[in-house]
Amino acid sequence: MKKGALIIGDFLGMILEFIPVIIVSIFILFVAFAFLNEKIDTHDIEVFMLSRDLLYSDSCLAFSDDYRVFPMHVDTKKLDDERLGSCFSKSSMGFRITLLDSQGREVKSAKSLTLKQEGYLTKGASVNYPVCKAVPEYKCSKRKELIVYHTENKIQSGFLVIEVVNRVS
Amino acid sequence: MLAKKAMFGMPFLFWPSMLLLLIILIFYSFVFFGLGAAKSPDVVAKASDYSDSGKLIALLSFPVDDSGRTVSDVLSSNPKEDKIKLVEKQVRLLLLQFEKPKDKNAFWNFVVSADSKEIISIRESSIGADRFFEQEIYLPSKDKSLFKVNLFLNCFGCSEEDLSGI
Repeated sequence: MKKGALIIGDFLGMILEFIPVIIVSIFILFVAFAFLNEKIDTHDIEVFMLSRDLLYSDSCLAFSDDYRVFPMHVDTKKLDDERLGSCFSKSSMGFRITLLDSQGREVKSAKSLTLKQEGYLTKGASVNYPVCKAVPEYKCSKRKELIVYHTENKIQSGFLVIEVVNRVS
Repeated sequence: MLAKKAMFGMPFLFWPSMLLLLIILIFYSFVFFGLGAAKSPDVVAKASDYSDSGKLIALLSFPVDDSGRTVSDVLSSNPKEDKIKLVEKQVRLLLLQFEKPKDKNAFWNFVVSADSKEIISIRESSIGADRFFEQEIYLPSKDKSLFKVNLFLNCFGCSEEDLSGI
């Protein structure tokens, strides 16, 4: 009986001895886990890449003649849903392009959006994308680029508004 | 035996040191999780780091008169004072329409210089402001000299979040 009590006492002593070690180990584990799983937000760079793809590529919206492609020049003939869908595709990403003249009036618009994405990217909402803000898995943003656009017989300056909805998690 | 004594023989030392350990851990939990100290800034893709000269290219392609001559066409042709004034006026209007961080003291600046002399200087900044999105292009002129064109955003107290999407 005396021997048994001694064993239990030794065991409890060992547990107490290890309590600080266990606490510190759990703390280190938590810190390491938090830092290894640090969220890398790539939404903005993805939107930037999309805008450059649209404005620099001949297969997207960039104006071209027989000799060269003009970056930041938009060919209005190329601005349609079909072309947008083929020039850039990422299943988790949808976008709407609106061409504005220098006074801010809409000239032309096109989109590459699924029905669900269109619901998130509400057009003309006074508050920026209320549906999108309410759903944390999606991120919506707007980018406005100064551009030059080519119509049938004229070159004018204006703005290209790129609205993007992206599934981030 | 000594360790046993430290715990059971000297409880006045063991429990205060446990309490001290917990206080230290709570402090570091606040530092690491609350303040996010030691988090690497490199894992965040910064808007100011991946910008290109797109804005400046578009600005220089802007038609300034009815004949369709662009800002770069005018600058390349060794313009006279009145033409420079026209370009400056048009660029000033365009810069006002550029996206800027909201609720911040931010201004787009446009400077054209040749032989270290400024020909067009649209500058506005606040004290202690930082430069972002610096873009630079060299334009050849008719007399074979070079015009250096700079565009940058001056902003005071702008964070990475403020600059995203610009």
